[in-house]
Amino acid sequence: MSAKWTLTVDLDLCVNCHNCVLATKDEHIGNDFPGYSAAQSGAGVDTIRIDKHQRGSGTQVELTYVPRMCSHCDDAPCLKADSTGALRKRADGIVLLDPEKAHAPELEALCPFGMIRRDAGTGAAHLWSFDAHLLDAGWEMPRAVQACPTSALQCAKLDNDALAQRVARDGLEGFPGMEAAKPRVYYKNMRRLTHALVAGTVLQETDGRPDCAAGITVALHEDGKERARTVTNGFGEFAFAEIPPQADRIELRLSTPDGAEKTVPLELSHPHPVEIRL
Amino acid sequence: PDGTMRYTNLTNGGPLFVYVKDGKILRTTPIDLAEDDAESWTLEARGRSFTPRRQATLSPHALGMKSQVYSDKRILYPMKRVDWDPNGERNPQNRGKSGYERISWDEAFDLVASEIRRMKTEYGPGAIAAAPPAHHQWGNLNYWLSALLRFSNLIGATRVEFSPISWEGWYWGATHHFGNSIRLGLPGFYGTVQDCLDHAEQIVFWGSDPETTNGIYAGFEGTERRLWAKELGIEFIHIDPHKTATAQLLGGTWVPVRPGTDAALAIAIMHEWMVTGSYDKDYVASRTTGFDEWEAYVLGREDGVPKTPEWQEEETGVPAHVARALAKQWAGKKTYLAAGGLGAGFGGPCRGGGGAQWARAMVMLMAMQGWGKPGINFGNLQMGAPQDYNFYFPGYADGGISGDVVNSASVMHNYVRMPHIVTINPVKQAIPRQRLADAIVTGKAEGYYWDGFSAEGQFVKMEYPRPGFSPVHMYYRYGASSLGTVPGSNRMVEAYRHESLETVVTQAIWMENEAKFADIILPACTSFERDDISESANCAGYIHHNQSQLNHRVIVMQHKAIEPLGESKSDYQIFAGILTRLGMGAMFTEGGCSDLTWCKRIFESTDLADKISWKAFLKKGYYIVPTPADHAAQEVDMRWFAEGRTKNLPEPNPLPAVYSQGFGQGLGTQSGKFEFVPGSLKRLGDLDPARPAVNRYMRPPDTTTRAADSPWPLQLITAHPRYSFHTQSDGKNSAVNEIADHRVLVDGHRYWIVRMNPEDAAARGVADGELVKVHNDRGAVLCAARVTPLMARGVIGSWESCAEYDPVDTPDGPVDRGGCLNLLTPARTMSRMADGITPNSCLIQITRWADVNATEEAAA
Ligand SMILES: Nc1nc2c(c(=O)[nH]1)N[C@H]1C(S)=C(S)[C@@H](COP(=O)(O)OP(=O)(O)OC[C@H]3O[C@@H](n4cnc5c(=O)[nH]c(N)nc54)[C@H](O)[C@@H]3O)O[C@H]1N2
Ligand SMILES: Nc1nc2c(c(=O)[nH]1)N[C@H]1C(S)=C(S)[C@@H](COP(=O)(O)OP(=O)(O)OC[C@H]3O[C@@H](n4cnc5c(=O)[nH]c(N)nc54)[C@H](O)[C@@H]3O)O[C@H]1N2
Ligand code: SF4
Ligand code: SF4
Ligand code: SF4
Ligand SMILES: [Ca+2]
Ligand SMILES: [Ca+2]
Ligand SMILES: [Mo+4]
Repeated sequence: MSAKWTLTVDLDLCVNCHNCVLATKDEHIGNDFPGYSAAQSGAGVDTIRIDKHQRGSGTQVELTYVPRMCSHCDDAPCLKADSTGALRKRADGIVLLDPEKAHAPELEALCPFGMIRRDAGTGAAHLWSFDAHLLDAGWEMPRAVQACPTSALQCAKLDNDALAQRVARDGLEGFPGMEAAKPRVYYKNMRRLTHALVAGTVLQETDGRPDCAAGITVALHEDGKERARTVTNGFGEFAFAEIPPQADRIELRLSTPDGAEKTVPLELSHPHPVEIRL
Repeated sequence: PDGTMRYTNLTNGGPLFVYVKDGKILRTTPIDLAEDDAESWTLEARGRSFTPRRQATLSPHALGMKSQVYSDKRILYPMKRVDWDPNGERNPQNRGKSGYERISWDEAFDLVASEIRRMKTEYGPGAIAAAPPAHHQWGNLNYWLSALLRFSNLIGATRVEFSPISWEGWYWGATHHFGNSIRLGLPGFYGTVQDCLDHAEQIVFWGSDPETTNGIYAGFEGTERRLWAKELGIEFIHIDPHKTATAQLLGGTWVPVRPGTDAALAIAIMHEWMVTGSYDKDYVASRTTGFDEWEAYVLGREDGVPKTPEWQEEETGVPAHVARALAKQWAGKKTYLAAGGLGAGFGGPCRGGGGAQWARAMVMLMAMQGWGKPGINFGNLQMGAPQDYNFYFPGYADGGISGDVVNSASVMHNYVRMPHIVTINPVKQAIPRQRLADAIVTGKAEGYYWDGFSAEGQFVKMEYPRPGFSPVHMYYRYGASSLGTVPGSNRMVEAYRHESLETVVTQAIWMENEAKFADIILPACTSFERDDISESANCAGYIHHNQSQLNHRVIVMQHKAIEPLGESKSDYQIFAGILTRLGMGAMFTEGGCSDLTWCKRIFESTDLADKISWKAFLKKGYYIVPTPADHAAQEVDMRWFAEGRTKNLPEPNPLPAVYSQGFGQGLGTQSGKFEFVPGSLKRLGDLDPARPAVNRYMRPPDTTTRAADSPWPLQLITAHPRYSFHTQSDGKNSAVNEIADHRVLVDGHRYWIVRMNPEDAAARGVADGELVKVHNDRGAVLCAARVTPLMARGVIGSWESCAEYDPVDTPDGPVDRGGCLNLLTPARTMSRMADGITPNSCLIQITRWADVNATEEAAA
């Protein structure tokens, strides 16, 4: 089994800087790479795009930036459905769209994940080519990976065993909904998309005025069982970042250092900031 | 192997490799350091060791530059406005409306030279004003402080003077408390990366978003160091009306605040420290003066109003309990204060009506907690990286080839190391850039100089016109950004059309913004089309050792990678052409030095020449300055002061005469100590009532009043754009325009965005991506709404500095679809004598554009 290119995306580290997008445009706008990709026109095509996902609300709102690009699927639906002959998968895992055949009108629809994009200027279809033309010329990584300032994007050429090891070690997952296609773009810290964030603030009265309640133990119970526990910080804030979305009948059980307790039922679907007064 | 040639260049966002094939730029990439480049440093902290990634990182706007080189807005030929006749009708009223015709360089040079001659003969000294932008493409030769300064000194010109736009509140305010005239009032930063990682327990970001601004010029060099802080468990707090990119990456507590009112929050924090006794009493007693007087104000002994957390809540919108928690948390932990994007300065709040109050409060907070002690300093790990601080290479404020020993830092090193002909501007007249429009329209303007040598230097008045000098009749504009970058820029349109302005010359690269108001346009080329030489992030005098933001000092040969597009020329060559017509060509070029010859002369004047040959440098394109092995021993900024020692930092100020106690003894204040009530402001007496010696909180004019019926119920903040560098890499078909958080495509036009909170949006029926009219009584700008929970309620977040100015007449009156929000910002100063810009914030309303049109139709 030969080694194949794999990209990992760490959702904790993507800062929405768009360096990956801009580096990729820099490489492909106005540049033909025969056999690999056609030149993009004007301001280019977003073969990489950054989606957003929101959790929480109020001051504890969290936005996750999600780089999306062709995942170079091992069991690619686009290849299966392709009658144009434009798409092919190489032995090193990279899926390429032949620039000579890129004008076929049905190409865009072949990727069920929306990763084949059409250049409005030239009419050609594009996907993120992993910058295969550079890898073949000896570059160690595609432009997007090189330009990523936080190393949220990393790539490696791995055989299946090495890949399996890395998937287990880093808790990597394919993008939700793409599992059957066996994508080669893996995400780290996917809980930001798949799990709920429960965050809030605890206040207490001192000398007749509200104060942030620090050092309060907050336990999150689901169906009567404790799932997680934390302590409020100096601002009375607490956060649980990994609550399964299907969890129901959740409650927060608060206990103060001097033994007082309070229980607050929660609705996961309720987006408003949780402010609890002791 | 692929037929490309690899060159190097340097931008405002880091150095680039430039790959060229068949005379065209194929790609631009970050520079990954090679094995034979100097070793990277390793820093030990809390039992861990950290080594930076071996790359000179890039900002997004740097990665957008190739698209700018090939923009279809490039000006390719010299041009003349069709209805501007130097021998007949000049039609100033048509500036910005009429078109252009192509002329030859010969005609252009002759025209400009003869206009210069005519101005001097007909009106006398002062009739020509020369106006640079704050910064532009990198380079020690083709920089405004270099070639333009040499040119304008040789012709003699009224200077258009900046206020310290980036520094404002620090300069007009903070300086006075700690006597720091170097870096125009910013705190220092030496050794702070090591100290912060060793000792700090938390970082308070206050108007500080280094993941957006990258300090200044620094790629993403600080990002990695902040991630180390996170790994070490250092905690973070973010005081900002916007949940910033930095807050999102690092996490921590977000404290949204009503823009401009921050000083009230800071004063309430000090109140809490005073009443609970949780401040460094020894430090305050031994290292500071004026605390009693300050305390009398804060505790309300002076005016009967204790500045409690409840008191500030009404002003700032920060709940009293949050302010109290903040005070407690801060006093209980060793804290780095990151005030502004540099950590040691800048910040949106320094550029507002309350800017001086805020920056003053920032240094007072630190003085109360023992500024300079281990783990207690200014910073956010952006500045103060381990580095060789003795290796000399000039930055742009060193004056390049200007030969100007008065208006640049040339005299410090550059002039002596690279002997060249001194130039002096004999025209002793100046106009503050902020007041330029008033100067032209009303014929009068005044302001205050900036001065990096003493706190009192800023009290020197500038008056226009100056007795014996001519008013301005010819405007020589270098760059074309003002409508996007000058607060209250709506005034510029009238000024451009004023009949007293007979000639407007603009030397620019792109047809954008105010370029279309010129009579003669001289096309400059980009830095990819000419030779230059420079060091990454080194701006010299303005921020001495600014390159300390970088993990590796990088000196770059900015190769001429491609031929200039069309007939464009390097700025240096344009000036040479004009001056040759005036008999000063040889003096300007020192006997015909080419761009490349100057690069070699600059190279030879530096410490680099001891390390690498000119030939080898030309070939390799860059050099990494090695970091000394004993970098961990670098003295930490203010440590000497905290410990009562003689100052021992690698910086040239204060001047010997500024010290009261003797050279190197104490701060540059009257007492030599930190002054809670500064002597310099006391000496000012009541000349500037809104900047009293006691830093009393005064509500700035542009904050939302508590009256619900104001026609302008929202506060607009115009921070520095994340994806462009001011106007650079914005507009003009930049790849950056494609970023949905930069511009949004609606009906074929890319609109500037305004970010608004979902509740503010819902109250106006505005949906994400929709067009909205952003307006007040100064004007109206059409933008696309970005509805986001990252903005505090009542605050509209956007960027300053758009490149496009695209006014259209609508039934609802004129609106700009370019995105110049500075059309709406106030032109007023911070206080009578604190002559700073105050665009943050301004009061506005937002109206759904569809609603505006519906109303119009109903009326029709
Ligand atoms: N509302 C608001 N306004 C602000 C601020 C704010 O916070 N809020 N911040 C202020 C600050 S700190 C700053 S620094 C200013 C920046 O304001 P400016 O300095 O005016 O902004 P830039 O976009 O950098 O302007 C550079 C100009 O030079 C041109 N140029 C670039 N390279 C070259 C070259 O090689 N040759 C020639 N001939 N021209 C060239 C560019 O095309 C552009 O027109 O904005 C200020 N304005
Ligand atoms: N990408 C990019 N980087 C740049 C620049 C650029 O144009 N683009 N410009 C460079 C230049 S010239 C400079 S001077 C620096 C400027 O660097 P800074 O002055 O640090 O940057 P700003 O964006 O003005 O302000 C930083 C933060 O202040 C917040 N803010 C605004 N008003 C207030 C307020 O009243 N109170 C509080 N608490 N926060 C407030 C903003 O939301 C923003 O997050 O950036 C430099 N870096
Ligand atoms: S370059 Fe990296 S951090 Fe920036 S947007 Fe792309 S993936 Fe995210
Ligand atoms: S992401 Fe879409 S285009 Fe890419 S391989 Fe998978 S199915 Fe094909
Ligand atoms: S004091 Fe030092 S720097 Fe000055 S002239 Fe003498 S040797 Fe040179
Ligand atoms: Ca160059
Ligand atoms: Ca786009
Ligand atoms: Mo600035």
